[in-house]
Amino acid sequence: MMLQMRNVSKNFGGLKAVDRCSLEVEERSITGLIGPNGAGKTTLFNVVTGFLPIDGGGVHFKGEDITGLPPYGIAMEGLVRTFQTAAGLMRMTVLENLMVAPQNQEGEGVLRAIFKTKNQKEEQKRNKEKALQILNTLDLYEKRDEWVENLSSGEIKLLEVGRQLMTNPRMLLLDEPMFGVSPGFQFRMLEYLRNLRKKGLTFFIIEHNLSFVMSISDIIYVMDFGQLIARGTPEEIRKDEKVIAAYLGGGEE
Amino acid sequence: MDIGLFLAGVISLAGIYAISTLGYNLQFGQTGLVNLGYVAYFAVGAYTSVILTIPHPGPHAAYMFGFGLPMWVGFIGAPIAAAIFAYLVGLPTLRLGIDYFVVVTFAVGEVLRYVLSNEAWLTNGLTGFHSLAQPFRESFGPLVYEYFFAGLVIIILVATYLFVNRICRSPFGRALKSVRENESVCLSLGKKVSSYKMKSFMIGAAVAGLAGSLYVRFITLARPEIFIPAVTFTALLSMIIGGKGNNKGAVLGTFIFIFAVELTRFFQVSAAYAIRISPLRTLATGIMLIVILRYLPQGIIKEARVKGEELGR
Repeated sequence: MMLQMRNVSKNFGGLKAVDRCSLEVEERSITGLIGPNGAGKTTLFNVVTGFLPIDGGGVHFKGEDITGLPPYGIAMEGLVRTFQTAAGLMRMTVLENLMVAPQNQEGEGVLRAIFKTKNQKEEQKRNKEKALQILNTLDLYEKRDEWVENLSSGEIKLLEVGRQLMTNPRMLLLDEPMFGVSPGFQFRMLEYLRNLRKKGLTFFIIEHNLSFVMSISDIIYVMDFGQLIARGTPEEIRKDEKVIAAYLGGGEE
Repeated sequence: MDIGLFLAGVISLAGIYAISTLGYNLQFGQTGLVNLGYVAYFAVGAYTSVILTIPHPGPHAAYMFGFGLPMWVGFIGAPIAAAIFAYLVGLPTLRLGIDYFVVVTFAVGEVLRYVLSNEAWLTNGLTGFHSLAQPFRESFGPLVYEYFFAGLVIIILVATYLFVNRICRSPFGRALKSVRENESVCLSLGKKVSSYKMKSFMIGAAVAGLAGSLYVRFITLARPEIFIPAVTFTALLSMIIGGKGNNKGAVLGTFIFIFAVELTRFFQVSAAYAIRISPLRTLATGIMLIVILRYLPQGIIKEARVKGEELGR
């Protein structure tokens, strides 16, 4: 089991934004998380990745307890997230965005930065090759020297996935990868994620674009009012009455 | 007034401030740390270099310390002391959100000036220290020395530029930029943002300390009244004029700013008017800033895009 949550809870005052959520993500799977706006999906992501303090329950990653680790510590474990709104490092070039990402780079220490070591140069060269390769697959190679702020939001979303990949993650948490992405880029994103999965990466994806999430996921969880209300294959979820009610507003019976 | 001597003086002054701007640009331009109390680190460096090098005071002096060490110990001690001071200030303040950080850093600069004024046992209070020794003063005649000092400042400026530039272009500098651009993204990549901020804050402060230690040698005087927010704003304005996030811009911006201010001394007016129009100098500075922000919002030299060929080497 790659990621395991046990009764994860998060309250904002009296509001139970995430209410005792337990779920599991299998290694090498793509697991989807859907639910109406305000259901608590992003809050769940924030809690799991340490961006918000957890109020109850625990998170295990690769069998290790990562509950309460700081966000950078969780990322160092190989559990890496993206953000809902396009989060490019805007006043840096496309290539810089990728090359800043690898963890524990030789030249990230002050002294090593000043006395540029040979290892550092070789490492930078390797990182650059890898970055250019990723840019090639993302079809962003031509824009490698461009400021990221000049990219379209779809391109930034793609770049963001590429950037997080530079950290060599074991698992990616994608927060609405299709948000603000034009149909042309959606196809590119889909292909890209499928290829990555073949290479052994595990995904946990929040997405509102149901056709996308249904076509890519092995297992889908549904969240509403902070609670997980359903789990199943895309086929099962499509037929689940609680899910239909949550989406269509089953309150008026 | 001898134009050569005047130029030597202005170059010394601009060179010292350019060093200060380089450190400021590392903090603000590269890392996004809007430090409005930059003068504090400038002052700590200045006083450290003085106290380390002045002779031990007699029994009747108001201050207790004077270590009589060689001049170069002062120049090395100044950045170290400023960096240590930055570490202590940074521990609580770097955890703050950016707007609170701005306010608190400004307060640090103000509070420090009052400390310098009141803790006479260390700083000799409002009197401060005067007639300070200058490096290699005895080796030159009084006039030639001005040129020598300007040359010395330029050499230290070049060394500081190379040092700061190397840091900015390294993977470390790249990480600092990512802190500036988006802290959340940085954290999501596994970078300890707080540690990068602290390092940048300390290195920038060390550079300020070095500039401060040169400044007191230039004016041969160290008094609390020198270390006013204008020192911070000189660095801030120079950086904005030259181009935020660009070290060449930082140096160029400082020289333009200092020369523009100093050259106003050449306007010949009668003594009666001189006092009345002297505030116009500040006004002129303000207009210059507005014009530059209007027509060159990114400064004279924009932040350079790091070209692909420069990476991975």
